Amino acid sequence: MSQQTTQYLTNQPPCRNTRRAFLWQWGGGFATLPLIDLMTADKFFSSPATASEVNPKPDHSIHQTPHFPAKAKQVVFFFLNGGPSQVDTFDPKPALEKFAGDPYHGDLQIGSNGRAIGHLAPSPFPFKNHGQSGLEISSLFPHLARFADDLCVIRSMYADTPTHSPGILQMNSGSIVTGKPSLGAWVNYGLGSLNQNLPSYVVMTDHRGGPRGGAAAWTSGFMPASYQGTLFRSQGAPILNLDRPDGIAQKNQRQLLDTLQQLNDRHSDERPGESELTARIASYELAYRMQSGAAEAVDIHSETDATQKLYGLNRKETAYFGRQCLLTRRLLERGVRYVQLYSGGGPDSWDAHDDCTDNHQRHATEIDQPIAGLIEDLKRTGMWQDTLLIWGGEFGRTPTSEGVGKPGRDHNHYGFSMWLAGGGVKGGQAIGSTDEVGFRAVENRAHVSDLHATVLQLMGFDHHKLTYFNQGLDERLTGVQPRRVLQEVLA
Amino acid sequence: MKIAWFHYLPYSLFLSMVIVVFAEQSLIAQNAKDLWSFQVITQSDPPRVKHTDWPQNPIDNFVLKKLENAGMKPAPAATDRALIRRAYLDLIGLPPSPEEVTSFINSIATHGSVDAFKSVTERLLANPHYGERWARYWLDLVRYADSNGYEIDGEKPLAWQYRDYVIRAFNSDTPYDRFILEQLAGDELDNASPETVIATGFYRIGPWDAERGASVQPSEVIEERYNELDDMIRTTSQVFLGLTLGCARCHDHKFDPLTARDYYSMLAVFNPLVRPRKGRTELTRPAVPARFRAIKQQTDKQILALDTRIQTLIQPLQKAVLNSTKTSLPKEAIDAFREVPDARSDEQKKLIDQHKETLRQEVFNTLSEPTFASRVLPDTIIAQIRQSRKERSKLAERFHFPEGYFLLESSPDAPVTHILTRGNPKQPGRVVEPSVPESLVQQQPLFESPDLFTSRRRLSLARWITDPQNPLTARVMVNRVWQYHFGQGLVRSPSDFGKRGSTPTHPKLLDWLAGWFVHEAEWSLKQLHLLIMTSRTYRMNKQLVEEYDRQDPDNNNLWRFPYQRLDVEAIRDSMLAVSGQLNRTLYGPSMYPEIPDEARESGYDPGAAWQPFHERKASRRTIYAYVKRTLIVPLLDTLDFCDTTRSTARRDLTIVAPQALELLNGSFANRQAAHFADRLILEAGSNIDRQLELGFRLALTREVREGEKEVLKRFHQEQSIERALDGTQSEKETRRQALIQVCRIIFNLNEFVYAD
Repeated sequence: MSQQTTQYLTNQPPCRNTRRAFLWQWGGGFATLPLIDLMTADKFFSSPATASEVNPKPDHSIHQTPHFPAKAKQVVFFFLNGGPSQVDTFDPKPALEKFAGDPYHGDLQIGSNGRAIGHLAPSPFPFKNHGQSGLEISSLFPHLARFADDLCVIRSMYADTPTHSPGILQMNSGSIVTGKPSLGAWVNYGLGSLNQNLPSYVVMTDHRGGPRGGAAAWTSGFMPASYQGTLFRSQGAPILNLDRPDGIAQKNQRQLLDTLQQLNDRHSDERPGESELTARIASYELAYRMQSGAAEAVDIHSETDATQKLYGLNRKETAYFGRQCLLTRRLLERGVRYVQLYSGGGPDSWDAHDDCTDNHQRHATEIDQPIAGLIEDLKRTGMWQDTLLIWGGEFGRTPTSEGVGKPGRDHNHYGFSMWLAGGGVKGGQAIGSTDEVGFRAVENRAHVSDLHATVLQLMGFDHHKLTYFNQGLDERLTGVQPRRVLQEVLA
Repeated sequence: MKIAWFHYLPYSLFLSMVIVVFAEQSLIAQNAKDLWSFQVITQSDPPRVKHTDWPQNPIDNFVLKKLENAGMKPAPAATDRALIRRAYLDLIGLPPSPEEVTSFINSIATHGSVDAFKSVTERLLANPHYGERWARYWLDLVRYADSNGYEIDGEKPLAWQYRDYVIRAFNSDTPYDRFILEQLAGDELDNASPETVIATGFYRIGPWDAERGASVQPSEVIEERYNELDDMIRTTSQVFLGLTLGCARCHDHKFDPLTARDYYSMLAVFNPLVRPRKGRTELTRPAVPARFRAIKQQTDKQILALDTRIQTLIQPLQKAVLNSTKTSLPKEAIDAFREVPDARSDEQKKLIDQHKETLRQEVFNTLSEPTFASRVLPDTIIAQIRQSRKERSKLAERFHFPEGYFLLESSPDAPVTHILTRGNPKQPGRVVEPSVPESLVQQQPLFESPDLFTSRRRLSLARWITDPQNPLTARVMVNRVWQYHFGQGLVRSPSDFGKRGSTPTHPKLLDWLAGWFVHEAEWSLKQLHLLIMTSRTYRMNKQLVEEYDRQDPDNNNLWRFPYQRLDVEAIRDSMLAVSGQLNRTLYGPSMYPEIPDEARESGYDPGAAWQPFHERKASRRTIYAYVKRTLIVPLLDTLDFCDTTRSTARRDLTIVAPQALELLNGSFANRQAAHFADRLILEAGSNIDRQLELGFRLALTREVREGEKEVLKRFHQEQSIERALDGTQSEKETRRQALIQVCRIIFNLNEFVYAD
C-alpha cells in the first residue's frame, strides 16, 4: 500500500497508478500509519498539537525528494490584495519630486481599462534609511522598519497583466489562466505535511472579503484537491463543518462515531484487503480529532497579554490582522507548511485608484505592527531561520496619478516591489531597480516566475525538476519560458 | 575560376536544413507508425477460451482469455441484490427502491437471472434519469459551468440549455457520431435545427476572462483570444480524439507526433468563431441554423414592414387611447407620447421606451372593443390592421428561433491564421490553412469551401472526426464508456492515447468494441451499455483475492469488478432519494443549493450572487446545481467535483477528513438525515425494528442483519435515554431525534458510498 501511495504522489503517468492513494486533505500519508496510532491519540486532547509531538515520525513517503538542502521549511505569504504602490513603500524616487506635475512621456501604457491619465506624482510618504544596512523604507511602515536588516526588497518585479484577477492568479500560480496549482500546493506537493491534524496549506482572507477570482487563488489546479488551500477563519470554528450539528453534545458525537465505526469495521472485515474502506474509517477518526486540534490551534487566550500586544491585538486598527498573524505563528508551530494572509479584500483593498494616500496609510497601519510582531515572535521562538516570509501584491501602481491632480494611482505591472525575509534570505538589501520614475523594472528584472523559482530553491527544489504530469505535459510552476533563481536573494 | 569554399556555405546550410526538416518529418512519421492508437482499428474474432460455459457475449471471451493466460479465474457473480444496486447506481445514479428489488428477485424466479437482469438494464436505459447520470460525465469532459470564472465571473446566459441538450441527447440515444457533429458544427449541418445550434455551445462554456477579453488594451484582448482558442483546441482534441494537442501550442509535442503546425491548423478551424457580447456582458443570439439565416433576415424585414404599417394605421387610435381612461400610463408618459417627436426631451424619450410596449398593448386591446375603435377609425382600416397583425404573428411564429448561448460564425470569411512562435501572439510566423494533424492521415480530408454563411471548416473537421476510418474517435469513446461503468478504462489515460498515455490492458477487446460500436451498434451508446452490462464480466463480484492482488495489483487482468467510491452526484442524489426528498423535475434553468455563509465570506463580493433556492426546488438532482466557477458548492468541492477550468476525463477520488466533516456535520447531510427519519416513522411506524428494516432496504438495498440491528438499537436507546434525561422533549420527539442520529450513521456508512 505504501508503495502505491508513493507511486501516486510521485505522479507517475496514470497507467501506473490505477489505485488511488488516500490522503489526508492536509497532506500526510496516513496509509502507512498504523490505525492504532490514530485510535489511541486521546492524549492528544490534553496537549497542544505541536508538529513534533503529534507526528513524531513524519511520513516521508508522501512528498518529493528535495533536490538540495532546504533553507526554509515553512512559508508565510502576506498578499497585499489590489496592488500596493512601490514608490510609496520600498522604491524611493526623488526624481518624482523634480518632475511632479509633468506628464509621463515614456512608452508604457497608462490608463488601465480606460481610466483617467494623470501626471507624475511624488510620494506623500517620506523615505528614511533604516538599520545598519540603511535600507530605505517609507513612513508607512515604522514598525517593520525595525527589521530593515532582515528584509530583501526586490525592486524590479514585473508581471504579465495589469488586471487584478489574472494578476492574482499569476502571483499565486505562475499563470494568468485558471487551472494551475498555486505555490502553496506546489510546496505541499514537494514537501508534504508536518501535522496530521491540521491543513497543511492555510489561507486567511480579509474580513472585508476575499480576492477577486476567489478560491482560484489557492487552488490545487490539476493536482488532487488534497493539495488545495483551506480557508481558516480567525473567529468561531476555523474550518467549515468543524462544529457538531446543533444540539449534539460531544459525548453523543463520540457515541455516534463509535457505532458508525463498529458497523464499518464489520463491513470491511468481510472485505479484507480493501484499503479504501479502512482509509475512510480512519478519515472519520481524523475528522473527530481535528475538531479539537483546530480549535486548540486557534485558541489564542493562552497567549500572554504581552504577546497579544506585540501583534497589536489591543488596537482597533490592527486587531484583525494582528489576530491572523498571531494565529499564523501558532499554525507554524503546529507544522502548517504554507500560510497565506490577505490584506484588503472585497471593495476595500490596496487598489488605490481614488486616493492612494488615504488608502495606503490605512491599510499599512493595519498590517505594519502585526507583521513586525510576527517577525519578532518568530525570532523569539527560534522559528525565524526556518520560515520564509513573502510580502507583495499582484502588481504595483503607476508613478503617475490617476487623473490630473488627483491623489489616486493606477495599476502597474511593468515594475513593482516585493520583499522576502527569513530562512535562507539575505536581508538588509534592495536588489534590482526601476527606471528613473519607478515605472518599469530595468535592472536585474525579476518576473513573477523568477520569484517562484527562488521560493522553490529556498524550499530545496530546482524549479525545472519539480514537475507534475498532467494531460500529456510535465507541468511545472514556472512554465515553459526560461526563468531564473534570483541568486542575490540567497544568503 | 576558383570558388571559395564559403560560396558553398549557403547551399550547404540550405541542404542541411532540408535534411533536418526531412529528418524531423520522418521521425514524426516513424513516431506515428509506432503509436498503437494511430493504427487502423482491426476487429479480430473473439478468442477461444477453455471455459466455454463462462462467456455470455464476446466481451467475456477477451477478458477470460487474458485471465486464463495469466492462470487466473474470473470472480464469481455478484449477488442479485448487489447486481441490481450496481446497475441502478451505474445507469441512473440512484439506488433501487425496495419494490424494484422485490420485482427483480421475483422476475429471476420466473425468467432466470440473465433475462431478468437484461430487462432491468433495458428499463433503466429508458428511464430519463439515465440521461441525467451520463450527461454529467460529458459535462466533466467539456468543462461545463454556468459562469465564466475569473474576476467578474459573469453568468453565461442560458448555458443550461447546452446541459439540457446533452441530457436529451443521452436520453434519446443520439448516435455518437451525430452527437459530435452537432456539437462541433450544429449550425452548419444540412439538417440543422435550433437544438443543434445550441449544441455548439460546446465551444463557449469554457472559462472566459471578461476583464481581459473586453479590455481597452489590445494586447490583453489578443492574448485572451488565443487563450480561448487554446481552450477549444485542447478540449476538442482531448475529448473526441484522446490527443493532447494543446501541448503543441509553444513547440512541437515532446512525445507525440504532433507539431505546432498541427496546433495552429486546428486553430484555423475555430478562428472564425466570434463571441457575441457587449463589453464584459455576454449576449445570447437566436439559435438560427446557418442555412436559415437568409430567410430569417428576410422575415425580420417583412415583420418590420408590417410593424411600421400597423403603427401608421393605428396612430389615430393611439391618440384616442392617450386621451381616454383606457390607458394606465402615468401622466408624464402620456405627455411624452403627445409631444412632437423632434421636441421630446431625453427624459421623455426614456419614458417612451419604457412605456411603449404597454401602450401598444392597450391600443390593440381597444380593437376588440368595436364601439371605441370604430369611433376613431373606419372599419376598413380596422380590418387592415387586423389582417396585418395576423400576418405578422404567423411570420413570427413560423420563424421563431429561441435565444441560445453559443459562439457565432457570422460570415463565410475566415481570418488569416499564423503559427505563433513559442505561442507568442506578438511573433506571428507562417500562415496556415485549416487541416487535421498530419501524422494521423495519409491525405488531408477535404476541407469544404465556404458557403454563403460560414467557412464550413468546423463541419469538415467534424466529418473527419466522425469518419469510421478515424482510428481514435471510436476507441476513445468506448474506452470512456467502459471506464464510467467499471471505474477504470481499458486505457487508463482516457484523454491521452499518445506516447505518454498508457497502452490498453486488452487491446483486442478495445478494438473489437470500437468496431462493434461503429458498425454493429451504429454509434448507439445505449446498445453499448447493454452489451457491456449483459456480459459476465460486468456481473463479477468485487471480492479481493489476495494472491491475485499481489500478482496483479492494478487489476489489469480484470480478475474482479473494481472497487470504487461513488461520485458526489450519486452520493447527494441517493441521499435525497432515500430521504424521500428528491425532486425529480427534469431539465430547465439551474438551481442554487444552500451554501454556508462561512464559505461565501472568502468571495470577492460576499453578499452577492448566490441566492439559495427554497429547499424543495434545491432538492433536484445535482446535475442541475448552478456551477459558479469561483464558488463551487462546498459539498461538491469537498467530495471531488471536477475541475471546471479544463476537461476532466476522470475525477481524482480522494479520501480525506473534510469529507467526513461534511457528511457528519454538514447541514445538507443533517437535514436529509432528519427527512429520512421522518420518512421511516411515516412508512414503518414507531417500532425501531421496522424502522431499521425499512431504512436498510431503502439505503443499502438489503435486509438489516440481526447483529447490526442490535448495535443500532442499543445506540438508539442510548440516545433516547440521554435526550429523555434532558426532559424538555416529548417521548415521541426524543425517539425521533434518536432516529435522526441513526440515519446520520446510515448515510455515513462505507456501504452507502461503496456499492458491492
